[in-house]
Amino acid sequence: MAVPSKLDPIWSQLVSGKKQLEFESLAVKIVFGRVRNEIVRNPASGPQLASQLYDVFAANETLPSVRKDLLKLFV
Amino acid sequence: MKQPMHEPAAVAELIRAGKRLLLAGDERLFGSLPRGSWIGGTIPYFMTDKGGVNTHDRMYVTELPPYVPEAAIKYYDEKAIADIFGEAKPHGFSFIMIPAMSKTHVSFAVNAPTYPGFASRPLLGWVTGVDLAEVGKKLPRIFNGETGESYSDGAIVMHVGLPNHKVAEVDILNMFRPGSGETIEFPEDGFTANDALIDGKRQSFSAYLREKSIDTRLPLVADFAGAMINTSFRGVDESTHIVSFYAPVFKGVKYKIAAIEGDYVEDFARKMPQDDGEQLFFACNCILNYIHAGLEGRKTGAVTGPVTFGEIAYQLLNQTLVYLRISDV
Repeated sequence: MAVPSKLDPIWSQLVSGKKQLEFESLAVKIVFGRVRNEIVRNPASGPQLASQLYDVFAANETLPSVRKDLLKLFV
Repeated sequence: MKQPMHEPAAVAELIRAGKRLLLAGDERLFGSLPRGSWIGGTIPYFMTDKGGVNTHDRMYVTELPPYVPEAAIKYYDEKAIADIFGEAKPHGFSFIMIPAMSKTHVSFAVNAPTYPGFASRPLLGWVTGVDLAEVGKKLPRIFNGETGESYSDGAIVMHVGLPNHKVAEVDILNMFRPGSGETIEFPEDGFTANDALIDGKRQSFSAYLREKSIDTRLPLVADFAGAMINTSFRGVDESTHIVSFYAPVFKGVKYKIAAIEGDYVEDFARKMPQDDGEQLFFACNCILNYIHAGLEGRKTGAVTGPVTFGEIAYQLLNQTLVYLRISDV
């Protein structure tokens, strides 16, 4: 399962909370947790945070836990 | 996990045989080791197959598997450590040791999540320490086995490459969950706090801890999208009323005082992923868990490893078990 494009709306939906998912990967959880805290502090940072979320998935897509998390993005 | 406690003479033989090693032990044990492909850190506390021990005579040895094609050792100073994710192997993991109470320890704790490429590659490791009776008298140290140098600051890292048919994953086991008490936030980032927002209301944090009779052996816990991240209490200065921590608290993060149910060791045995003897490459646990949960002489299942002054899984953690599994793709 390929990582959705950086431009895919899924990333901003996750950042905003419009789409809510629970992840398995520790790397994804830590980055996503920071993203969710930061969007509250700085709502204008949405695009940058979406990019961070994409980056952690793209960098770790070979990890088994991230592969499971990728499947959840398409549900 | 294999039996990993060795006397220095046996470790020296492994080094001379060309083994690539991650070592933990009392400082004086490193002096007799030959140069080779190894890094090390000081600590005398360990989880072993016979339970928790404090030993100054043997070292905990983690040997890289023979299928590892490459392992590069690098020392980073306080500034250069920001490059750690960018310099990791494209497919593998990086193992780091940092001396406790050093400038790099503080800097890493505060800044790691802002490093370029943060969490882009598996990073795990531990903060080196000393016998608790020697805190303040001796400095924790790290060792570069290739050069023979040792340091009381900076970080020593082994960047490990893996073959394509293997993959490494870092994970944690945190026995603490957010309790049911008030939500705690802090007005500033830092290792200390004077005031806190308790359910949104600003007050002296030390006064809050006293009024609620909070057991500060329990950490603060923050929920990072399901990853429970602890911040351990270091102490309360009764004259200044400043509360200090073993990791920084961050503005904008919601914390709870932790709750733990049942017995640590029994709970641990239930919750630790079962090791088939092949996949669990390394684990470390916190000295605070060793002390507060009474781990000396008690076994933590099949999990062995150093008991450390801080754990690292992408960032600094407290009172957490960190582990790395290597599995087939």
